[in-house]
Amino acid sequence: MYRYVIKRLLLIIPILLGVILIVFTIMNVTPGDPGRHMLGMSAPQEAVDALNETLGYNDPFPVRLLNYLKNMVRLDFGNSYRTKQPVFDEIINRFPVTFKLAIGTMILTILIGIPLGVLAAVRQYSKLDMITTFTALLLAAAPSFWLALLMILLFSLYLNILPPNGIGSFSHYIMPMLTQAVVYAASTLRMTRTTMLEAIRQDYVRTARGKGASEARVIWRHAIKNALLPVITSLGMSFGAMLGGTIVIEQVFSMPGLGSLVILAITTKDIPQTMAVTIFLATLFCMIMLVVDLLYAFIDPRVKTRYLQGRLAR
Amino acid sequence: MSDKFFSIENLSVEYIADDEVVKAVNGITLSMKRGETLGLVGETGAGKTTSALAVMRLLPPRTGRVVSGSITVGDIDILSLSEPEMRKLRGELVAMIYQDPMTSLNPVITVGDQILEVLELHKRQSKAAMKARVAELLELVGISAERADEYPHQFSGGMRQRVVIAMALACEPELLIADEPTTALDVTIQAQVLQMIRELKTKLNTSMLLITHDLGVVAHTCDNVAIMYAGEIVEQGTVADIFNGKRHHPYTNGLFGSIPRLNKQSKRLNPIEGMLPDPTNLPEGCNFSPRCPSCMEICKIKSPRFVQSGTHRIACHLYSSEGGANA
Repeated sequence: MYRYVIKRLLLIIPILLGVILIVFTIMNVTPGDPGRHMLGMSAPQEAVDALNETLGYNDPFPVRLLNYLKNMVRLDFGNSYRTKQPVFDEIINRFPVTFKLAIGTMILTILIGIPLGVLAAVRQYSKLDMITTFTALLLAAAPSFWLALLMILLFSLYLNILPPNGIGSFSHYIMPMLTQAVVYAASTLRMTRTTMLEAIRQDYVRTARGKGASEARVIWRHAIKNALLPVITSLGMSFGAMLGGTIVIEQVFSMPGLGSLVILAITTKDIPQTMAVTIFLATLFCMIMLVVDLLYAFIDPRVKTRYLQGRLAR
Repeated sequence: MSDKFFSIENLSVEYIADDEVVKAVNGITLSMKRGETLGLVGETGAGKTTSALAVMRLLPPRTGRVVSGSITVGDIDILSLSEPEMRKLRGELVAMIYQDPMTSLNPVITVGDQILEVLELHKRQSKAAMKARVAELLELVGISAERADEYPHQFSGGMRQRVVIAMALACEPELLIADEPTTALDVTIQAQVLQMIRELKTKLNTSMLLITHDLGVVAHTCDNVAIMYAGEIVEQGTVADIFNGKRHHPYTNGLFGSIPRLNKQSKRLNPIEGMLPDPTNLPEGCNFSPRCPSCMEICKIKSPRFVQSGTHRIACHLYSSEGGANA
């Protein structure tokens, strides 16, 4: 099994190279130059040119890419053009905000999505099923910025019980978590319902009933493990997306997380900062997917066998 | 009729699919004594498995339902029980060996735990005692007890079928329903599994309802036989009645005729022409009449009644004129 893990970790390297190549190219071929952004619109052109020269921005593109890779191998990701600080300082400062948000969202998603999905499947065609499935469809289709604005309207303006923006206390996190969780829980619910409906029609579920197992036991012991396998993959991907892509939520609730850092870095042409965030998130995503796959093997013995067989085949 | 242990009286089962009503079982009556084996024979779709599931009360909820009839095991009226009462009997009094060993076991639970579960549900014993019993059961069906911690995918089809059998036998049920226990297995394993079932049955004095479409299996294993066609029983009797009797239902003749023989020269197989009738739209009169080689006018109008001679009963108009008096 550990050989499988090492293989997967090594696979991250080509993925990162690909990500670096794509993002670096986009950042370097799009119009605008960092000198102008840093010095402002009123600065003389000579000063801008001089700064671009010192930043190495005037070198040919392949040279720039090569230099970046060379420095990266030495773990030197450069300083942010904007703050003049090493790029990872900013990331380390902001990561906890995004991480807390993602963890909270994840917990809510699981707590809402899975039990309701199971319930909807077990009581297929009941009123409960119809209401939850319809609501889930509605929420999954709703844009999250719209939901966020509605929440601010309700909880901050009318009820005045939650702060509309910032990260000062736990209460600041409630609305962002809820907004995100509602969307992810909706899709998790629909997925759980589908896989559960399939699972409870399997022969082994009938076998379990035939042993005299109660309905609750049949569902929570026999059907759910099988039904959750695809749900776990999707939750893992959602978690990766939450860590990287909470841009909208962070913007609406003015949270200084990684998502808003990405926006800031791109709009200020802060190439080292953009690259660092991208690399950080890509690595994180790969790691999460690895954990998900290992979790899979833990739940499904058939997958475990396949990993072990993969080792034997080598 | 006094020492009947298991009986089905006039059982009818329907499935409701969209707006159609599928008449899967139409008034079958069966009975057997303690320790006996009754073979239920018929082609795919004849309603054998549906009858078995009705006995277990495991018909798919919402779509399947028992329309009429009664099922008695010992002195318990199965159909009148509440669901919790029925749950106590499943696996304990009545157990079932399922048709497809590849899908009947849960892929994410170890084989040992799946057998253990039956004991957990019905026997108040210590964990250690139950574990020991699981080991004993596995050895009983010819699987090394060390393999209890393995998962179904690590077993071959024949081994999985043995696990299903071990599971069914765990609580020593008084009635065992074996739904084509050997169909998914290759011939060498079939013989082993059948032999095993037979030995276990004798040891535990279990009654068995054996569902199969394999007449060879019936001849080897059963005491009595019921031939089922389109949800009805068309012929019933002892193994000797069915295999050696002179008079048969045309469908039974067709079944026997369709077995290829090595000692007779024949270039072609002899299938029964046609197909099972559409269960949403059964024909008037005898269900077999559209395929019957000796179909008469009356067959298309009137359902035949049973003609009895000794232990042998046939539902066919061919014999009603001779034996009509005691039908």
